Amino acid sequence: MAEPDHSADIVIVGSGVAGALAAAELAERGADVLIVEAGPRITRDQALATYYDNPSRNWPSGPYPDAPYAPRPSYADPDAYVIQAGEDRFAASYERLVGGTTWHWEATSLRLLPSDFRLRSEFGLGEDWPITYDDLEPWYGAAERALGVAGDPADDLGVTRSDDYPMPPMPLSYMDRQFGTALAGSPYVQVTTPAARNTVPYAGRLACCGSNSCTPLCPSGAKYDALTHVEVAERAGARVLHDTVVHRVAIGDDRRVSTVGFKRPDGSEGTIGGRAFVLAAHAFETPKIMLMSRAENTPDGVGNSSGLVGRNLMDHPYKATWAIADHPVWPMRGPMTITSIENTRWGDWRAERPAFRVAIYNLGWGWATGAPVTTINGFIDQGLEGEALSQAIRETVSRQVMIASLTEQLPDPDNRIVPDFEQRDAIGIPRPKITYRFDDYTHRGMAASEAAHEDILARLGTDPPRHSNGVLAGSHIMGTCKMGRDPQTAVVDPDLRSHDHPNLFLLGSSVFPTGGAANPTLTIAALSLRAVEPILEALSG
Amino acid sequence: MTVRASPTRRQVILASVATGALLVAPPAKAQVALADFMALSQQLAGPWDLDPDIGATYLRALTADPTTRATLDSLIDQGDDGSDAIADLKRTILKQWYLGTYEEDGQPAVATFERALMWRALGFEQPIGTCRGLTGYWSEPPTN
Ligand SMILES: Cc1cc2nc3c(=O)[nH]c(=O)nc-3n(C[C@H](O)[C@H](O)[C@H](O)COP(=O)(O)OP(=O)(O)OC[C@H]3O[C@@H](n4cnc5c(N)ncnc54)[C@H](O)[C@@H]3O)c2cc1C
Repeated sequence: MAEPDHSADIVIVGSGVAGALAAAELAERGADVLIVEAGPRITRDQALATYYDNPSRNWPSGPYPDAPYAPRPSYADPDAYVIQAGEDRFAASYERLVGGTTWHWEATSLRLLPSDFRLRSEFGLGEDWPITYDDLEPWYGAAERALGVAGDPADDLGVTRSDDYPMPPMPLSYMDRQFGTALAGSPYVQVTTPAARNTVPYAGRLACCGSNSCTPLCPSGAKYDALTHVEVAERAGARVLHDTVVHRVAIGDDRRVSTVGFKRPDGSEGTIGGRAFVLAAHAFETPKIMLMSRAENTPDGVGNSSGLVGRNLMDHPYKATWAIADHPVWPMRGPMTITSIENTRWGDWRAERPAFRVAIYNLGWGWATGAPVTTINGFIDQGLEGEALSQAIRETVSRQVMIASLTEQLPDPDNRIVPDFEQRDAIGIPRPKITYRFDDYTHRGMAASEAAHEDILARLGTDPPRHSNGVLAGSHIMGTCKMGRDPQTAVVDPDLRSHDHPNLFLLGSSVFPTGGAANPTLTIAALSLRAVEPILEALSG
Repeated sequence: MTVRASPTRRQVILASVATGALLVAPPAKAQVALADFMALSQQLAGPWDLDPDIGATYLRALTADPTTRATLDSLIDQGDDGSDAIADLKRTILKQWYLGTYEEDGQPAVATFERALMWRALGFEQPIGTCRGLTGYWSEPPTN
C-alpha cells in the first residue's frame, strides 16, 4: 500500500465542538493528534468584516465563507446542497469551517433529564440510552467547565448536579423581568437558561457585551465556539489540516480502520494513516462518509453491519410565536435569549405528546419576520416620514416579543440520510439525500407548544399572536449512528466505538438514541470528554 | 494629447499640467448637488443628523439610473407632485438612510453599518452585532 500523505496516532475528522474538545483533551494528555477539517480556516475579524459588509445576508451562515468544496445547507436555500426526497423537508443549517457550527450557535447549554435516557422504560416510546444520567453527570460538569457555562444553581432544571456552574448566571434583561412578573404563579416556571456565554471573564475570553448577535456571530468571543478548543489542541501539539474533505474510510484485513481518504479543493486526493480514528463531522456528514466508504470488505459502507447508519435522523421540531406587547419591553439588548421555560420538558403526559422547552427570545421579532428591517420597511412603505416614522419604529419594535419551542422527536428508522451517488458536489462527492417525515407525535407537540405560547403571551399582555406555519427546523441534527449495547441494533457501543471496527469512534449527536427537548451540544461535549479514555485505550489495542 | 473618455480628477489635472491648458468640464447637465440631496434627505428623515459622506454614496447610486435621476431632479426643483414615481423615490431614499444600504447594479450594498438610522431610531448607542456595553447593561430600559 502506498504511504499515506499524513499520519498521526489519532486522526479526528471534523473540528467542531465534538472533535475539537476531544482533540484538546487527547493532545493535553500527550497523544499525537491530527484534526482534519473539510472547510477553510478564518479568524473572528474576517467573519466580522463579512458580517458588517452585509448584515442581512443568508442568516445564520452569512458571516462564513461559501466554500464550493465544503458545501452546507442553509435556511435560505435548504435544497442547494441537500436533496430532499421525503414527504417533509429537513431544513437544518450547519457550518463547515474550522470550529464548525458553534460559530453560529446560540450557546444554550442544557443537560438532558434522567427520564430522557429512559424514554422506552418510562413512557413506552423510542429507545433507552445504554447509559444513564448518572453515568453522564460528572461529564456534564466537566463539559460545563470546558465550554464555560453560566447558570443559576437555584433554578429547577429537572436534574441534580454534583458541582456548581463555573460562572454566575447571566443578568436578566428588562424584557425577561416583564415576563417574570407576568408568569409568577403560573404553570410556566421561568429560569435563566444555562448558556456557554461568559458572564465574567473566563478561560481567557471576555464577558458578554450584549451584541444581541450570538447567532450568527459573537463579536467578542464571550460566547463559546469550538475555535477555543482547536487552539487549545494546537497549543498542546495537535496539528490541523483544513480544506481537507474526508470522503472514505478504509478497513484493513484486521477489521481496523487503516486510513481515511480525502479530497482537496482542487479535487486531488490523498490518504491519512493512524492508529485510532474519530469521525466528528456532525450528524449529516459522519454517516455520509461511512456510507460512501463502500469497498470489497465493506459492501454496505463502514461500521454498518447493523444497517442503521444514516437512519433515525432526528431534529427538535420547532414552533415560533410572536406578538406586540401592550407595553414596551425593549428587546434586542443583551444576549439573544436569556430565560426560558423548562418545566414543560417533564411530566407523565410524555407518553402522549412530546416534551418541549420554550425559549424567550430577546430579538424583537428577529428572524421570525426579519425585524427590525422588515418592520422599518413596512412603515416606510406605508408612507411614514420624518418624526412620525422614527416614532412608529421605536414604539413598535420596543414592544415586539417572540418565543419559540423546541420539541422532542421520536426516532424513526425511515427518517434517514444517504449519499446520493448520482448527484455530486463541486469536487465529485455524493450529496446528502434525506427522506423525512413528521409523525403525529410531532404534530401534537406543535399544537401543545402553540397553545402554551398563546397562554404565556396572554399573561404578558399582547395583541393576538402570530405562529410559524407547520413545522420549522430546530437545526439540532441527531440520530443517524445510534449508540447501543447490541451490535445488531446499534452502530456504536456506549464508549462510542464502532461495533464493527475497534479503532473507529464516532463523536457528536449522531450517536443519540433519542433527543429529548434540550439543545444537544452540552451532551455532545460530555460524551466527547467521556470518550477520551476509550480512544486512548484503543491506541494500545 | 487626447484625454480618455472618463478621466479621473487626477488625470485631468495631470493632463492640464502637461498641455499647459486649462481643461473645461464638458457641458453635461449639472450634477444633482449634494447639498440639495442632503436638504431633501433631512426633510424626509426628520430629527437625525445625516452624514454627507454617506449621502454622497446614496446620491451616486440613485443618479446612476437616468430615470431615477430625472425624478430626483424634478423632486428637488419642483417639489413633490404627488406622483407614484416621486413617492417611490422618497421611500427609496428613506430606506437608504434607515438601513444603511443601497442598490448598485441591482445588487444590495452596504454604505454604512453602524451609522444606519435604524439604530438611532431604536434608541441604541451601538448597532446589533457590536459590543454595546458592560455585561448587564440590558437590565434596564434604554435612557435615550
Ligand atoms: C442556528 C443554530 C443555533 C444553534 N444553537 C444551539 C444552542 O443554543 N445550543 C445547542 O446545544 N446547540 C445549538 N445548535 C446546534 C449546535 O450548533 C450543534 O449541536 C453543534 O455545533 C454540533 O457540533 P459538532 O462538532 O458535532 O458538529 P459541527 O459543529 O457541525 O462540526 C463538524 C465539523 O466537521 C466538519 N466536516 C464535515 N464534513 C467533513 C468531512 N467530510 N471531512 C472533514 N471535516 C468535515 C465540518 O466542516 C465542521 O467543521 C445550533 C445550531 C444552529 C444551526
